[in-house]
Amino acid sequence: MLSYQKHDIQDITVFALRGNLDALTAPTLKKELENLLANRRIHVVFDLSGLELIDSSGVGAIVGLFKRVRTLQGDVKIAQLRGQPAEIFKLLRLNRAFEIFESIDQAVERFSA
Amino acid sequence: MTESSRAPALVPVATHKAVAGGEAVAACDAGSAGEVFRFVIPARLEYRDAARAFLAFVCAQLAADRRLPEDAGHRVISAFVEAFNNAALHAYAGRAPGPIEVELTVSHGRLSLQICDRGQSFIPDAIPDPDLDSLPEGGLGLFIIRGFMDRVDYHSQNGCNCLVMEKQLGQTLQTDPIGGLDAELPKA
Repeated sequence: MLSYQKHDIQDITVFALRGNLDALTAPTLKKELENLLANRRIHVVFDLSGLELIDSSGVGAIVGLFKRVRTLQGDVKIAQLRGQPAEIFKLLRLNRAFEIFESIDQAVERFSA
Repeated sequence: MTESSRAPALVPVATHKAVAGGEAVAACDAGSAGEVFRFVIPARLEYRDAARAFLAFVCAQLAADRRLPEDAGHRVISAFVEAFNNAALHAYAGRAPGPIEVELTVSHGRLSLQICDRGQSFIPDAIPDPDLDSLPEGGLGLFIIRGFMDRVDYHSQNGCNCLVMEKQLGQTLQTDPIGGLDAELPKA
């Protein structure tokens, strides 16, 4: 089960994910992320404080968005990474691609830095 | 009711003794000593979390006993999820979802997790590690399993494909205050 909330801070979209981002739920999130791109929302912060589990399919959804927004001069930043998702990010060395922040505010501020 | 629509079954087959290996599981059963729990689950992702929740419970117990650090528990659960996904999505691809047998064994020095299916087998050695620098969006499952577990083995026999994954456990403080993972944990 995955639930999410999103809100905009100027041209930045904050996506708060809660539950499991996995092979079962990633297709739904991908559709939502497609809508972001269709609306030219290319500055994205994922708030992962409520994310309990991510699997390789979930990683694919986030990485896929990251690669596409980067071609449009946008970016994806990660906030409040912990628990099992943190272990996955570490193993896959995703911290080398994504900037990861302790708080949403820090991630949002980074876009204007 | 079809086989695939039955509710997941939780079957603690034996505790504190060797598994006898019944007829239905003989092909998949390597036989091992320890606390053994076996689930038979239809190969549908919707049911995966029934087994994952139990595995999380066991890992939490091991963490409370200071035999498995919390982050290592996250890794075991990650490996389980990928192994189940592989069986459900690939082994039974293009055919009706058959059973996935999950056997969890907690013995003195290790946690062993065996995931068996009766679908299409694969050759793990033919699957290369992904190029992480290219930020792959798929093909990460086996890499996660190999990266997070201490030992991984795959065998296929009599139509039963089994992925066996092991994680070393530390000893309890009561039985071995110096050895195993406890040597790395902060002492009270």
